Amino acid sequence: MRLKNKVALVTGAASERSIGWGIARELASDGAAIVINDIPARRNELEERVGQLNAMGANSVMAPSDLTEPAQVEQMIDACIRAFGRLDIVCSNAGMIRWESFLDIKPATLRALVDINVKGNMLVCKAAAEQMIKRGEGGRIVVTSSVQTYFHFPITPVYGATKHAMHIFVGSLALELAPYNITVNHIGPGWVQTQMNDTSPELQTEASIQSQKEAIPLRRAGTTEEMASAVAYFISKEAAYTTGAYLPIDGGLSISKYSY
Amino acid sequence: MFDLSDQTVLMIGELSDLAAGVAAVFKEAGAEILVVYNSTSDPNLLRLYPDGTYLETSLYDPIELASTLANYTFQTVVISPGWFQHRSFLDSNASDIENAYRINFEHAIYSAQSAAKRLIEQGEGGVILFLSSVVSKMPTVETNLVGSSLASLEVIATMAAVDLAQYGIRVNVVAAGWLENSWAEPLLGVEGRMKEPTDIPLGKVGSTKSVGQACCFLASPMAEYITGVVLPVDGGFTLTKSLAQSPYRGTRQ
Ligand SMILES: NC(=O)c1ccc[n+]([C@@H]2O[C@H](COP(=O)([O-])OP(=O)(O)OC[C@H]3O[C@@H](n4cnc5c(N)ncnc54)[C@H](O)[C@@H]3O)[C@@H](O)[C@H]2O)c1
Repeated sequence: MRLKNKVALVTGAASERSIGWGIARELASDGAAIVINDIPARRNELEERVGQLNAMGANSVMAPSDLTEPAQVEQMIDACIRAFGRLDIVCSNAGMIRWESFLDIKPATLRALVDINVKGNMLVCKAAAEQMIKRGEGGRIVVTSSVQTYFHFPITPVYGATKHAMHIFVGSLALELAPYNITVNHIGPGWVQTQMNDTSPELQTEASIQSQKEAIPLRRAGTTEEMASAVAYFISKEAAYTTGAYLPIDGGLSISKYSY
Repeated sequence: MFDLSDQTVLMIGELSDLAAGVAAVFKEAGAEILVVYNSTSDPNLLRLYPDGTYLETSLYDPIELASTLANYTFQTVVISPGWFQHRSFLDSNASDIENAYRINFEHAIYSAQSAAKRLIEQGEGGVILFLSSVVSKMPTVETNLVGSSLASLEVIATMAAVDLAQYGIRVNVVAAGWLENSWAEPLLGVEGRMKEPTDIPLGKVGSTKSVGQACCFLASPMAEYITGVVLPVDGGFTLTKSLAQSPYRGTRQ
């Protein structure tokens, strides 16, 4: 129970197959009180997740908020404080992908991806950091970026750009928040079979799944538990001296153009 | 496009088909070619080079090298490392490691050092270019020694750029992608790849000429404010992830 008396917020955790849910369960099993977030339209799922966490013996509440709206981000942070009196750990994980090659980029998609993948993360980190600074006991922020931090795919240029942006953002945030003993790091999931990937049916054919596996040196998709382990490390006391770091968890996907 | 007729280009290092192709482009741009090559190089490669002055020397010995260079005047220096061999990690032995680092790292450093000292003596600045490969930035199958030795060299190059800036000497690296040359043969030999490499965004493998043109640009006054960069000339090869397995499956069974 290494996270006893700690309070963690995890955004984008409504789906039972999501990385956010993997993170929430991992932190709950280590004793943290959990606030889980997703968009208000997914309130029912959040309710179910809270039920599951409480059944595990964890303390948890939900905070449905659209993170592209500054006022709703504030409400979410307020909900954390109201429920548990503090906020120690923030896993800024909500995000969205669209498959549109460069010439097909639509203004609405462009706006939507920037709104959640860039602005959403920034608003959450800002509101959370203000809380942590006010309390004066330091804190931990972990952003979920992607292997696309460094490696890009022609079918997802905007997504790639927003994820690469997080690398620079996390670095400058780590610099600015270091005097307050707040560490900021990010994880780069490779391929995880979450709902996010369901939105591209062409990626779900037998042949496509096979070729995605072959492109990964370890020859399989990652699990949400494996993403959560990396987050658990970044927030552990062992990682207290690690800030501004990026850890890909991708089975080797981003090492090279090809697997062997 | 480039008029380098006021330049003598010193090509120094191992003889190779890549360096020969680069020399040919400089020659076409009007430059005089001076080739100082290591005595252990394969002399058969000399037939690939354009007209110029050719001197055999020992790159092991910085003092001998310096005395050789003292007799010549040049404005641009091209450092040509020469250990380009496919070796699986498990099959790399101590002498492979030794050779890769001696040729691609130590010799290249001595060459650059001696040439830089001569440029400083001449007192008019100059340009030093290192020939490298994109396997130094992206690991590929069976390139652990080439890639790591060239990666080491690129750090030296960028630090040399800092040190030599005060003398008006610019230092840059040109990193080649897959070329139609001897090193790439095992890869390009895979059926059909030569014609249609779908995994290179520009749709074709490169030529030594394309590398030479990048070198001419960096040696020209057009690049007067560019120093310490690694310029990939790879048709976009390293930009993307391929969903296929490597067409080059290695030499290890
Ligand atoms: N699954 C993968 O292969 C993969 C790979 C790399 C990175 N990622 C990243 O992992 C993170 C989690 O994604 P996932 O794979 O679990 O998919 P997911 O779709 O299950 O989770 C993302 C969640 O974010 C929520 N969300 C979107 N916009 C929101 C908003 N405005 N406000 C609040 N919540 C919002 C969604 O409703 C969704 O539940 C994302 O940032 C994603 O980019 C996933």
